[in-house]
Amino acid sequence: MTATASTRVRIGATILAVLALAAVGAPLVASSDPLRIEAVLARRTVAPFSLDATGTWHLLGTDRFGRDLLMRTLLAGRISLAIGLSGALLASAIGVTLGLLAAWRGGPIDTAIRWVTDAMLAMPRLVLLLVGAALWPPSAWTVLLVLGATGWMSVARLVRAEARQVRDATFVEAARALGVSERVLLWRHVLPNAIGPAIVATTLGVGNAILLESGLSFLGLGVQPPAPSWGNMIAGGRELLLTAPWIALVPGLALIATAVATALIGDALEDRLVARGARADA
Amino acid sequence: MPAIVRRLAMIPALLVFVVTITFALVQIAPGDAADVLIAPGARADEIARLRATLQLDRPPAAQYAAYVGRLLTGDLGYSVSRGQPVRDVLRDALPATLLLGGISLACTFVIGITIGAWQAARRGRALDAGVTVVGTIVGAMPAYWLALLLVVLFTSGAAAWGWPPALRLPAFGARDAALAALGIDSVADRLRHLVLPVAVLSLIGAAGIMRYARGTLVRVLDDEAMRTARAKGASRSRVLWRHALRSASAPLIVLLALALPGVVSGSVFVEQIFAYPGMGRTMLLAITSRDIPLVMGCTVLFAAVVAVSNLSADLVLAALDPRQRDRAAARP
Repeated sequence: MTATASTRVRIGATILAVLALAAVGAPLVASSDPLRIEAVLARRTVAPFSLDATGTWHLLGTDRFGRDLLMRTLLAGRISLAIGLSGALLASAIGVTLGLLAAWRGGPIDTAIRWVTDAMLAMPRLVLLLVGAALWPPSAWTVLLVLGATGWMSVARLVRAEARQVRDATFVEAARALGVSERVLLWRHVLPNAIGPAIVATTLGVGNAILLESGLSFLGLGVQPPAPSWGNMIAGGRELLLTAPWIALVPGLALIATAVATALIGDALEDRLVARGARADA
Repeated sequence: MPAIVRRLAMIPALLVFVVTITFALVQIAPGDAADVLIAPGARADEIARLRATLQLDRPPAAQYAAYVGRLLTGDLGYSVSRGQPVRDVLRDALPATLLLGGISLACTFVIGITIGAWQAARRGRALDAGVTVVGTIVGAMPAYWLALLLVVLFTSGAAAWGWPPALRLPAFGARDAALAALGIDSVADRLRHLVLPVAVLSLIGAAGIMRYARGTLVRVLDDEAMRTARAKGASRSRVLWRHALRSASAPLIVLLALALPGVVSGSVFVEQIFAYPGMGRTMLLAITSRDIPLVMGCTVLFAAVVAVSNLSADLVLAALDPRQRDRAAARP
């Protein structure tokens, strides 16, 4: 390892914080509505670091409708970050529930949950996502639900393994002997002790979810224009790829920065929290 | 080897699961296979007749039984958007994807392990750290973004900067349209069309596995056997490329299984961008034209390909290292 875990967390967290702050803040101070199209002829396809015909300077250039790419990328960041985060959280919530259920109930329920988990892990997640996104009308909500439905497996597996160990621990036995109810036992005693690896898997899952959301949006199966998402912005730039390549490539930089940041944080957390051999296979 | 037999038995079980899930999703989803066939302004009795012809008016359980029954005879249904049986569409698309995926996986493996080994030999130095940073960034790139970047560089960029013709690469299709029209099928031409798609998939894949390769080889190089080999006069590079790589071969094979999902998902995007006529592009076209039998066929075939590849990785592993046999079987 070339950088310590805490350095990597710091770098990753800084990148994410800057992106998130800019995404939330920038549209608030923007001079014009980033979705509105105006003065198209004077402003369209301005290269990065240049002035348009009305004398406005564009750090990252403009697209074919004359919209400022920096502003649109930040606005898209709101949608992409929100869907990625909530998609990963939804997936983890499902995973934690099923993992606890499997560990606690055991028997046929455990077998069934384990079987479904294994079977779904054996499929490439993108194919599952495509089937889900293909059958329902494309929207941000469809993407969110499909991300949740296809991302819970590694969390379920980790939580089940941890919860089984905790279940047999002496302090759980003691709590039970003291008359603590099943529900309190699960939520207050088992869950907090089994959640560590799930947190790591969720962190890694956020980056994954953002990449998958943008992938689906790129294919036209996710967030629909004119609402910007990093994926559909890249798709929108494809037509002018050879004359104005920055339109497609600029939003990707934000996407890559986000993915690098979550990978740094996730890996570092993993080094710290997870014992060897319990790697999440997301 | 009963464990391997158990793994083999998992494949049909997995396929039944995939078929069932896909079928259930299609049932829950709004609309059905008849939607694309109904002409605007069709009368209700015409629609009912069409649905009856397609047996969509029968209860879901009966439809499911009929679908599975036909699957067992190798009949995957009829693709409306292509106007031919789903089986024929898939038979045309599968070899293209296996070629693209196979070459990409091989390149991923070779590039990833070479870089990882090279880093392991220089562990802790500035170059090692630099390569790790670059690898992290490349590994985070979405396949479609890198694909678009390479298209820009090797088509319009290559022309603008006067690169030699060898570096001006085709970015469309699996073969040259002009040659195809003349009935010429040239291997060199097909390979040239594969360069950019394979580059995208293997660069991202290699970036993903090189840190595991580096980690594995660092552990092996610190082993006493390697010090002994050095003491017996083997050169540094011989120790790395012969002794260390050989004793690390089993964990390195595991990397193949690790790289596979990325190559499969990546190929969907890459085929879309390069208009490469494989499974991924077929599935996307099926989705956009709401060709449900074809969507189901693609899903089942994808699952089958991945299951067989995972099993082969386990078999290779078992052949390489007897101690891994039971572990491979235990790995679901």
